[in-house]
Amino acid sequence: MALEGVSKSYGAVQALGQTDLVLNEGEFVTLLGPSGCGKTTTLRMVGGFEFPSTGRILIDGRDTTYAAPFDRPVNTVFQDYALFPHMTVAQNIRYGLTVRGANLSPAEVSSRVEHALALVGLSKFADRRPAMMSGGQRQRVAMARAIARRPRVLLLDEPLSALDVKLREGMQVELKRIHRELGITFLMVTHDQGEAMALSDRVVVMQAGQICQTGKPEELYDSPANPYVADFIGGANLVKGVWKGRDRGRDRLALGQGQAEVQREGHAVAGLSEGAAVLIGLRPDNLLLGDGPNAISGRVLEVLFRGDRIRIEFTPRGIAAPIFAEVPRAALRDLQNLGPGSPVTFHIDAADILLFADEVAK
Amino acid sequence: MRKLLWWQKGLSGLALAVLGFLYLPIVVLIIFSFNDSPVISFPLSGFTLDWYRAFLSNPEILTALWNSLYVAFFATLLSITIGTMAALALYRHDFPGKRLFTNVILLPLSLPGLVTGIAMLNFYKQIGLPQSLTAVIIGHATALMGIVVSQVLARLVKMNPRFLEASADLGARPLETFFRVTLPEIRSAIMGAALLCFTLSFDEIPVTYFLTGRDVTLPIFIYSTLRRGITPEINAIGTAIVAVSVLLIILSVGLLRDRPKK
Amino acid sequence: MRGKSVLARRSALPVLGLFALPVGWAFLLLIVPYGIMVAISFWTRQFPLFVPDFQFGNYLQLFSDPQYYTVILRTAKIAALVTLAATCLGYPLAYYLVFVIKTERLRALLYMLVIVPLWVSYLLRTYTWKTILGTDGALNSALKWLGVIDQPISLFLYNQWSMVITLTYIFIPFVVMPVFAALENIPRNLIEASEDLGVRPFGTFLRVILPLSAGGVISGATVTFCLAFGDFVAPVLVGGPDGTMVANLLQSQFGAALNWPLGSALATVVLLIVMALLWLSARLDRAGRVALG
Repeated sequence: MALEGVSKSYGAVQALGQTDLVLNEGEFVTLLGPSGCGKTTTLRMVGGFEFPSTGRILIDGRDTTYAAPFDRPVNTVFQDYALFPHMTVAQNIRYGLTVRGANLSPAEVSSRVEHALALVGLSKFADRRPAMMSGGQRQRVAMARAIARRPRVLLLDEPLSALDVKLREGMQVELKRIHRELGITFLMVTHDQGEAMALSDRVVVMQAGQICQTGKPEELYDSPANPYVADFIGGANLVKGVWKGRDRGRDRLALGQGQAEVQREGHAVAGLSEGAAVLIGLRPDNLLLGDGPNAISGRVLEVLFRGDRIRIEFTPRGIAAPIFAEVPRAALRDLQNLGPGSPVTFHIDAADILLFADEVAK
Repeated sequence: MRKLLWWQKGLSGLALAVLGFLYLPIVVLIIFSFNDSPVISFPLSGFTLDWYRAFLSNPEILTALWNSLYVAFFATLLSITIGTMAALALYRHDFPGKRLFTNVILLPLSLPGLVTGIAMLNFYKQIGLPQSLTAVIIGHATALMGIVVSQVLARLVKMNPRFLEASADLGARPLETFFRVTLPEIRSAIMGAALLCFTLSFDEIPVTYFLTGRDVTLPIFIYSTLRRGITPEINAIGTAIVAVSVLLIILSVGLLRDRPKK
Repeated sequence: MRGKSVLARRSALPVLGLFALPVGWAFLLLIVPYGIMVAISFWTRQFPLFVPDFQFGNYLQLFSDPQYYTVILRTAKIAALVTLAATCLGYPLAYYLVFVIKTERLRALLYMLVIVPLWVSYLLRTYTWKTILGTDGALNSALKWLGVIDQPISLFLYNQWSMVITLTYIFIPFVVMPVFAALENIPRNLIEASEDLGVRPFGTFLRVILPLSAGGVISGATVTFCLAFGDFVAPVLVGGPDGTMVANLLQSQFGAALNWPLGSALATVVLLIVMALLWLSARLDRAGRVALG
C-alpha cells in the first residue's frame, strides 16, 4: 500500500501536507502524533471515508484514491468500535461476509465467523449483543468483524484508547499476536507513544500535518531527527547550548551560559559552525546520580516518588529551565536526605547525549 | 463530496415536495385573505383588505377573540404552575403510584381531545358544575399539563444534579436552592412550554366544544361558521392568527433552544 | 438513577406541598372524570333520563349494530391509512434532513420549517383543505383555469380520501419529529463501519439505518394513529356522508341523539384503544432499548 503526494485541506485549513508513505506486505505501521496532527485524516482517507485534495492512494498497485469504502480491500477497527447494536456478535461479524460481491458459500461464511471468533477468543459469546459486553470484549468483536473480511490492510483507529490502563496492556499483547498469526498489513493510529513503540515494526511520527520522522521504534528513540521527536518519544530535557567544535568524533558543548560543558559522542550534526546555538537533549533515564564525566550540578527543586524509580526535578547552575532526571530507587538509598534545596550532581554518558541545531535561534 | 445516488435524489425530491405540501394550505389561506372575491377560486380577481375590515368590525368575532385570549391566559397560568410542580415532584422523588401519576398526566398528549372533553363533561354534570368558560379553563389546563411536565422534566433531567448538592453544600436551604439554582435552569423551558400551551389552548376545539356554555371561543365560532359555509373573512382571521403564531414561534425558538454553553 | 441525596429526603414539608397539588389535580380532574365516564358507559337511558346501572347493553349495541361498528371500523381504516401515508412521507423528509443536508444551520432551519405548521392553528389548516378541495375551490378552479379539466371535479371533497389527505397533512410533523430524533441518534461511525464492511448505501439503509430508527417510527405512528382515530375537526369539515367517523358519532350522542351512556361507552372504547396502543408501543420501545443496551 502506498500514499503518493497525498494532502488534505478543509477550505483554507490544511489537515495534511504533501505526504508519501509506503507500507510493506505484512508490516505493522503506526501513525503517531498528538490530536490534530493529521494521523486520523490519513487513516480515514485510506479507509475511503474522506478523499485527498491531491495525490494518489494505491492498494496492491491499484489506484483506490476515490473508491468508495465498500470498494476497497481494507477494513477498519473503529475507535469506539461502531458495533451494530441491533445485531449479535456473530451477526456483526457475518455482516460484511454476506454482502453483494462477497460471493461466499454459507459454509464458508460460518467457518470464517467461527475462525474470527476463535482468533479473538470469543467463541462462547457469538449470540451476545454488544451492549452486554465489556469494553475489552467489544474491542475484540470489532477486530474479528474487520479481519473476517480478510482485508489487504487492517486499519486501526486508536483501537485501545477506550480501554483502561490494565486492559490496554493485555490487549497490546493480543494485538501483536493477532498480527503475527494473520500476517496482513496493519496501519494503526495512536497518540500513545508507548503503545506505538511496543507494537509497531515502523512508527511514523507526525506533527501539524507533516511527517517528522519514520523509523523503527529503537531508531526513533536512539536517534530522533529533531527535538520534537526526541521529546515526544521517550521524553527529553531540551537544554539550550552552544556548539564549540568537534574533534575525534566528539562534540564539545556548552550548556546554558557555559557554566557546564559536556562532550558528546555520535554522528556529526550538519550545518554547525563554532558558536552555533544548539539544543541538547538529555533523557531523564540517562542522567546518572553522582559525579563523573559530563557532570551537571544544581539544586533539587522537588523529589517525586514513582515506585521503583524516583523522579528528581533540579535547576542546574546557569540554566534557566529545570531538568528532570529519573533514577532507580536503589541509587538513591544512600542519599536518604535528598530534598528541596539540596545540592545534587548528575552525569551522563557521552553516547547518550542528543544534539540538534537550534532552528528557532537561527 | 460524493454524489447522491439515484434513490437519494428521488428521496430528496420527495422530501422537498413534502415540505412544500406542509405549506400549501397556509399559502392558500394567506393569498385568499387578500383576494377581492367572495369565492375561493383561481384566477385571483384583485387585492382587497375588505375581509380584514369585515372581521375587525364584527362584534361576534371580537367577543369570541376576547374569550379565547381569556381562556388561553388562565389555562396557561394554571397548567404552568401545576405542571412545573408535577415535574419537580417527578424529578427528585419516589412516591407510591409515581408511574400511574406520570402516565395519567401524559395521557392527554396522545389521547384525542374529545375523550378528555367527554370525560370532563360527564364529571361536571355529576358534580353539578355548569358548562362555562371557567369549565373550559380547567379542562384546558388539565389537558395541557402533560406538555409542561414533559418539557420541564426534560430540562431538569439534563441539569447536573451536582448543582443542587453544590448549592446545599454552600449553605442554601431547599427553597433558596429552588429559586437561585433550579428555577434559572428551567426558566426557558417553562417559558417555551407556556407559549406552546397558550397557542394550543387558543386553538383548542374538542374539549372546548363539550365544556363551554353560551360563550364561544374563536375556534368554536369559526368551527360553527364553517359548518354553514365558507367566507373569506375566515381567511383574514386565519392570516392574522398565522402572523401571531409565527411571532410566538420565533420567541419560543429563542427560549427552548438548548444553549450549548451549559 | 439520579443521585437521590440525603438532602432531598430531609426536606419533607415543602415536598409534601409539591406533591399535593399536582397529584390531587391529576386524581380529581383526570382519573375521576375518566372513571365516571367508564361508569356512565354502563348506565341505561330511559328517555330523557340516564339511570345508573351496570349492564353491557351499550357495548353490545356498539359491536352488534352495524350503524356503530361500521363507523368504528371505518375510523380505524382511515386512521391506519393516515398513519401509513404520514409515515411514508414523513420518514423520507426526516432522512433527508439528517443525512442529505450537510450543514447544521440549514438542517436546523428546515427542521423548524417542519415544526412551524404545528403552531399555526390546526383548525385553520384543516379548514383550508376544504377551500382547496371544494367543488369551486382552489384546486378545481386552478385546474380549470389551466385547462386541465372543463368541469369541476366533485371527487376531491366530502369523502374518505379528502379526510385521508387532510389528516395525513396534519400528522406528517408528528412522524418527522421522533424519526428525526432517532436518525440523529444513530452514531455516524456505524454507517461508516457498514460501508467499510463492503455494504453499499442502500444496503446500509436497509440493514442499519432502518432497524435503528424503528423506535422513532413506532412512536410517531402510535401518536398519529391515536390522534387521527379521535380527530374532531376533519370529519366535520372535509368528511362526507360516507365518511362518518367516531367523532361525528360522539358528537351526536352528546347532542341531538342525547344518549350519554352510549356515547360514554364509545369514548371508553377509544380510550381503551389508545391505552392499548401506548402500552404496546412502550413495550416495543423497551424491548428495542434492552436489545440495544
